[in-house]
Amino acid sequence: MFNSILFATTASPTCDDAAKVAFDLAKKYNAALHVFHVFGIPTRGASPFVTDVRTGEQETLDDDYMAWVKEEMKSTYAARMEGVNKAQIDCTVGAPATEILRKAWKEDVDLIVMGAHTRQDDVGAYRYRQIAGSTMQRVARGSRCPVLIVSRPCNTCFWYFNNIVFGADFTKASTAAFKFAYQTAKHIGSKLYLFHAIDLSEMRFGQTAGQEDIEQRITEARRQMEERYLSQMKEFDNFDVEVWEGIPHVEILKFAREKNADLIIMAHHTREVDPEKALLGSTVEQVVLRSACPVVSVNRLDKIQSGDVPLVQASKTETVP
Amino acid sequence: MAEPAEKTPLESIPLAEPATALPVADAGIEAGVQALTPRTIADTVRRVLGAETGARLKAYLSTCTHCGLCAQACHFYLSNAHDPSYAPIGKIKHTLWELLKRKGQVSPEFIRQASLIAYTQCNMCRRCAIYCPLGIDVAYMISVVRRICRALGVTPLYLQDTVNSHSATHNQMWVKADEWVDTLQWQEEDARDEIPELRIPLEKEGADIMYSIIAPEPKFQAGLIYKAAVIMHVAGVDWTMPARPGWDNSDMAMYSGDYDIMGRIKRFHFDTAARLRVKKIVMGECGHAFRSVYDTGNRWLGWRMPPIETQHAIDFYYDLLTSGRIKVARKYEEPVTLHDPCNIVRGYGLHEKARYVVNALCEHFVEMTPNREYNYCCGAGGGVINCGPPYKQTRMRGNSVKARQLEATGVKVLIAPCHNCHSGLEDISQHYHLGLEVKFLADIMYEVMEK
Repeated sequence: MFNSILFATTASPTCDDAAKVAFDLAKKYNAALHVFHVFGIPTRGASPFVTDVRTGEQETLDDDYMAWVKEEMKSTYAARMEGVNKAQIDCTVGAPATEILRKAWKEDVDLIVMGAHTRQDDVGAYRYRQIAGSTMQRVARGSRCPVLIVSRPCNTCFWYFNNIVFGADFTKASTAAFKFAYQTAKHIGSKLYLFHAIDLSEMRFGQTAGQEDIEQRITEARRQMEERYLSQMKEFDNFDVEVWEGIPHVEILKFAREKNADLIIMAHHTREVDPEKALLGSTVEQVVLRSACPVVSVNRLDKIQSGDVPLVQASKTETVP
Repeated sequence: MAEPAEKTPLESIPLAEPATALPVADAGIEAGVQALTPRTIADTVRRVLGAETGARLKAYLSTCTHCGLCAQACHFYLSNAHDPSYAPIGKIKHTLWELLKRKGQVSPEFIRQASLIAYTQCNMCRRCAIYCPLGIDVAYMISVVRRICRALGVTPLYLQDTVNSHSATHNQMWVKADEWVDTLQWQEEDARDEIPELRIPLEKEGADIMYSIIAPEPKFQAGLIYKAAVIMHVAGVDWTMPARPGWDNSDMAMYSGDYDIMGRIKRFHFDTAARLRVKKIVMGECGHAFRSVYDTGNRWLGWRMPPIETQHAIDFYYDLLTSGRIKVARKYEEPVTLHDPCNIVRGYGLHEKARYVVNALCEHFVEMTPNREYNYCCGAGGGVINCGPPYKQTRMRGNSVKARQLEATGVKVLIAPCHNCHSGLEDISQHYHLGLEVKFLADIMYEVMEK
């Protein structure tokens, strides 16, 4: 399912939850794992110094320091590293989001794993999206491959996922997200919930949606579900379709809780200019911050193996016709 | 300095703060000062003034009537309790005049102070030249001081690091040769997702245009290359980018006073365009690079004007819009305001074209006051932001007047068609809690154009 995974880490305990998932995934799929850390720099320009993530002190950036940090990362993740065959530890200096995307492009990875918070005291806080995990947002928007965001301890490992929720919004990016959701569910053998929330928050002042109007839109959404997604699924019937109405991120979270979801998969819009089309764009960020389970953000098709082609590692262990 | 806990209302942004010297520790300056002797100082001052200055400096020095009108022009003066030592003339008095008067017989401590004044308390924005009844260019005199400090080895560490990078790599950010090509390929692949036939043509000899940018783009803001490529593609421009060094048009050596390096990198930039046999160079949205290409760097090399036609992005966008090669699908709706960057407005007069472009792209344009050639500096230019974190508070305190000017527009989207301005204004917005979204023209053009 995955050949190459990029785990972007702050190399601090805030990323431990994400680390567990990243290393587990690499083990499970025998994927190459790139453990990658970007030094923040204390200025907008180039800098001879970096801020050490653990001590918060200023360090001179040179080969010695780089080697020392890599060594530290190696010992931090030594226990997790066992059983991972192709792990590579790397670090660089620069703007974190840009460097993570650059690395993902360079190594041609098919999944990025990262935490949502950069600071430990942010955990659990209901921060607004300007503040929380701005690196995560930028990466999720710019990435060509799915981005798995882990902000809470994930106790079920990736292959134990039982209930996957796919939050649909009928855009091109959403089709990519669907493909990923479908393949993951099929591969793992878990239940897939296709979910859409009619957005009522957009109602203008003084205008409330009549029941008839809402029902009409629900019918339309179900038709779209059928046309866009259900028709794509072959030999897979372990799914359910639901359409609710309300504020999308709230509805998705409610739905996920009700279904005991352990993975949410959504589209994240990069360059959709028309905001109406990109309904879920900011919703992903809201969901990530509040979700109890990991969230995968997908915005493009090109790194998702297409159709019913046997999934890479699966072909060896499972029966694929 | 403690930052205000919540948003500061307009009235409480102090127009004038008490003028207390901010303690700064700068390893570059300290190391330089340690190595000074009175003799090296005197020799160096004599050498620089004797060999590199002439009628221009003499004219400025002999015509200045000490009227003090330049004071009102300077954002450092206006933001620092009208402390006369921050007036342009005050800065010259504490540096160049003393050096001349004492024929270079000054202490290392004097050089330390002169260096701090010249590098971090003047953005060389030339607003004061507009206010001077005699048209004296104080920025030029500051650049002479910087030149002397550089020759003495007393330069802020961060600034010197960027100059070292220029010298070693021909770009400002230590971008390695393969990283550059990788970045272009990466952005091309990303853009082809949107426009499958898009290319970023590398090393295309005989193309009409060589597009050159500054190193922070590939390093931090690779998305800008993507946007530029889309604009070029849609406009059907015959363009190219160099695959080898020479692609970076920025120039921090101009600001540090390292004119030998300045000359070397400018020549390299022009040589690259000549090697590719392009008709002209189009530069990204950067102000200081333009100053270096059409004013300072070329003249150091002996060209009165750039040897190859050179066009700033604003000018280029103006051409694209007026010739109809870029059409606007739907104008940007949110109200915007425009910051006039010093190097391309006071320095080159692109303000009306900038307004044409903004109005063509945006529905609601709100002027900030003062504007055009009277606009206040962003506080980042002149290499000051490149002097790094030790001087951030100097910059923030020294530009409350800009914060007031921005807040008075009541607008939340600020267009700054210059990288330095962009960074400086983001800092100001953050420091004074203005909540501004700072954008490049390319950001907006990409968003609203027909693709």
